[in-house]
Amino acid sequence: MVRFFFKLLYFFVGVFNYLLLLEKMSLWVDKHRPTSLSKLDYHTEQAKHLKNLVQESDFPHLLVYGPPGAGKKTRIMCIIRELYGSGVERLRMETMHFETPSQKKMEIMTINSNYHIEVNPSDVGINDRVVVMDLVKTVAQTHQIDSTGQREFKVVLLTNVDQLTKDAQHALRRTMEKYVATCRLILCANSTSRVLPAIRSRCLGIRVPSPTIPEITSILNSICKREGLNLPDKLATRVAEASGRNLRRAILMLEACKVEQYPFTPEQNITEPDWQVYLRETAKLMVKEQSPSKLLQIRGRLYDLLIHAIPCDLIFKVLFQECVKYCDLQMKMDIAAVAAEYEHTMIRSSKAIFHLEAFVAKFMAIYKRFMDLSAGDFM
Amino acid sequence: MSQSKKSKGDWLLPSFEIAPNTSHIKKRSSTDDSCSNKMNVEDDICTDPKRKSSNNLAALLMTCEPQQPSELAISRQKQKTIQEWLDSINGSPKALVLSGPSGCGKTVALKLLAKNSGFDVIEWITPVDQAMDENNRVMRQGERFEDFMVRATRYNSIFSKHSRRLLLVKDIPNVYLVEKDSFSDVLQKYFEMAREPLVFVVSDSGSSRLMQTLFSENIRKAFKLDVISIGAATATSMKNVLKRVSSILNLKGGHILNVTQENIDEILSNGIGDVRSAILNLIFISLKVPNNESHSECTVREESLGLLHGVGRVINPKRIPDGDSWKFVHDPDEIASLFQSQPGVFLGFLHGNYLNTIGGMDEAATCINILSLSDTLISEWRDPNLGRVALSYCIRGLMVTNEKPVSGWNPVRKGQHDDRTLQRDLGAAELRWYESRILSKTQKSENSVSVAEIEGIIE
Repeated sequence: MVRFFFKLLYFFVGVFNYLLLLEKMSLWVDKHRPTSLSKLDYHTEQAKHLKNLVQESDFPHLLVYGPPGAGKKTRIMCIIRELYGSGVERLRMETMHFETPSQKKMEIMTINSNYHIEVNPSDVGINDRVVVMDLVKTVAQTHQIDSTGQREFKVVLLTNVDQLTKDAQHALRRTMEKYVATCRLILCANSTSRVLPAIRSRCLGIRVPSPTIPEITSILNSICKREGLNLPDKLATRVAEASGRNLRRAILMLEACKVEQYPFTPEQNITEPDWQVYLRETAKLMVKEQSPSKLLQIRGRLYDLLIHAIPCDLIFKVLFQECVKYCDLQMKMDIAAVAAEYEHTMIRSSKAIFHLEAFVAKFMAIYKRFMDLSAGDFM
Repeated sequence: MSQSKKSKGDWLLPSFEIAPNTSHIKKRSSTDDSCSNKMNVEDDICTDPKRKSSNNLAALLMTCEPQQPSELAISRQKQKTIQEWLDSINGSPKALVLSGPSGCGKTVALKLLAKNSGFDVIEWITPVDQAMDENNRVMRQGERFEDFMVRATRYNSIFSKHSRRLLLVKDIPNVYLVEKDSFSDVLQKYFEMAREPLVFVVSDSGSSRLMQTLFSENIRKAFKLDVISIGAATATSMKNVLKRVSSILNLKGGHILNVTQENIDEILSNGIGDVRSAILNLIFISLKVPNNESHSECTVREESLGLLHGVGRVINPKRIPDGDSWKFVHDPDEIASLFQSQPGVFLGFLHGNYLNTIGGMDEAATCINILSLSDTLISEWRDPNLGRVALSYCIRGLMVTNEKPVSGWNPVRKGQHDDRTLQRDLGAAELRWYESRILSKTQKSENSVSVAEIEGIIE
């Protein structure tokens, strides 16, 4: 009786959370996200393979990697749904508490269903090791209570694995071996280059490439059809190109366009992400004048970006792309070398601002030298 | 006991009294074993000059004693007077009072001159123990002194080198300070019975009234005491003595001492004509102090250096010329040593402020490059030493790079934190940005939409 009561309570809480999530799910990206492997729009061949894999009722640890906005997460959720049925859609958000060996308390948001748990360990920075160890342990040590569940294992979904520290990755490797009977890990990363070879070899790697521009335009068209909107082909192509083959961004851009101006016109303004604009202006500042005081000003801008939780590697990448536009071939090489160096040190260390600023300073120094030289030539 | 010792002492010295450098001067006193050390120390003038260097300061001091009359601190004239007195000795009891400020070289001069004139110096040292006579009666100090005065020279020592002997009394037993009459009795007795000359050495500082009380005009006249008073050592003689001593000290005690001209000048500048204390002071200030101790002293003194001062010293490196090259006014390592406990914080502050004093773009690029590398090193937490290395590297790097600091008033900024309160994820960032745009627009448009329509949308 008591058990039944708890189950009921559990159910209601689940429903409540689900409703909350539904309400939030007003964006097109979430609304039109395919929920099963058979409904995927592109990479259908791969989807078929995945379906076969899951139907074997058992599968190895997975490492899903690909550029942002390619549909990694969508595929992972499809796999989990394929495994456990629609029960995985009853999601709830929970906060888990951890304590580091040095008695520092921290908390991390997780998204759970009865069958899986999703967490981004890199949220807690350098303490991710503790999260990886404790979380996987607590999840893996408890067997499935629900005997009706078809699978004997739970799924732990770790996102942004490539941002994990080396220690966390080592800890992950050990737990992967130890709890293989009770849980499956699905790791999600942008690139495997920062994932330890030991982890790579223990997982089945699934690469999800970015959709092509025609694929994106067809998806945008189908979304508009479902929404009952009329989308000019020209605008669809423009949005797809502006998104940089990032499907999520493309859909978000489209929705932003719709909010700004509807009915659509082919030449209408496409809203770019604000950091992109901000970084473009920053690059302009760097080229305009090279002096320590300018560097100080740019540091302020970098801090702004960091405070708004723009990922450091994104800042780096966009900044580099913008800077390179002002360079000739020889300088491009130099700048690329410098950028590679500082991006590496940034990953290895804790204070991103040092390395971002170092890149900016170096660029300004190189650019200044170049300008002085060419000025000398003219005289 | 003392009686027996006294009677036999001249013949048989206890083995422990025979120091390796057995001297020709024998102390004649009714002391017990406890005095043996003292005896050894006072023992002698003719120390072997070839003695090896020694750790013992007392032995070192001994090597400094003058070997020739010309090395004495007292003036030639006084030396001559003493010498004349010594020469005038002709077997009859004769007494001399040698007075002068302490440390002017009275005793040394007398001993040396007496030795050169062929005298054994037998010195009275007031015993600290209680001696018994043959009837097991405790002897009074006065009695023992009397005994010494009259009988000390009666028997020859087998160690003596000279035929003639001289009694030396430096510290007159305290009893006589109270009983002046008994002192004159002792003198009386001496002149009646003794055969050897007697010398009183009285240090005559201003406050001491020994000269007035014991050797008053009456007594001097009564016993025909000769008086030679010696003045304080003059600056010139002091200089000569120290010069001689310093070379001996450097030679013998080079491993613990380093006597320099500066030290000597310093001693001379505040000397008051006291040779003994001058030499002691010279040894003290010339002592080599182990390096680590002086270092620790420095850190104690500098400990209070605040974080902001530290930052200031690094970003405003002052240079002073040093020979052909230059050096920093503030040692980078010293600065680094003060912030070892929190290298991260210090780096943060340096990063926040280094641009204030940087002149050119190239320097700035080098500086931030150094900071970036230091930060990478610090993040390697598995080796705690790397933190220190990174700090030192960073401080040095910034100081060396910044050749011409730009001066000007700049408030010290705190290094900002880029706390990761929000999820750093491209997808999340995109969602946040577009969501804010879309929702703000939809909310605006919703205001114009009727309630019924909203319900329709929700359904």
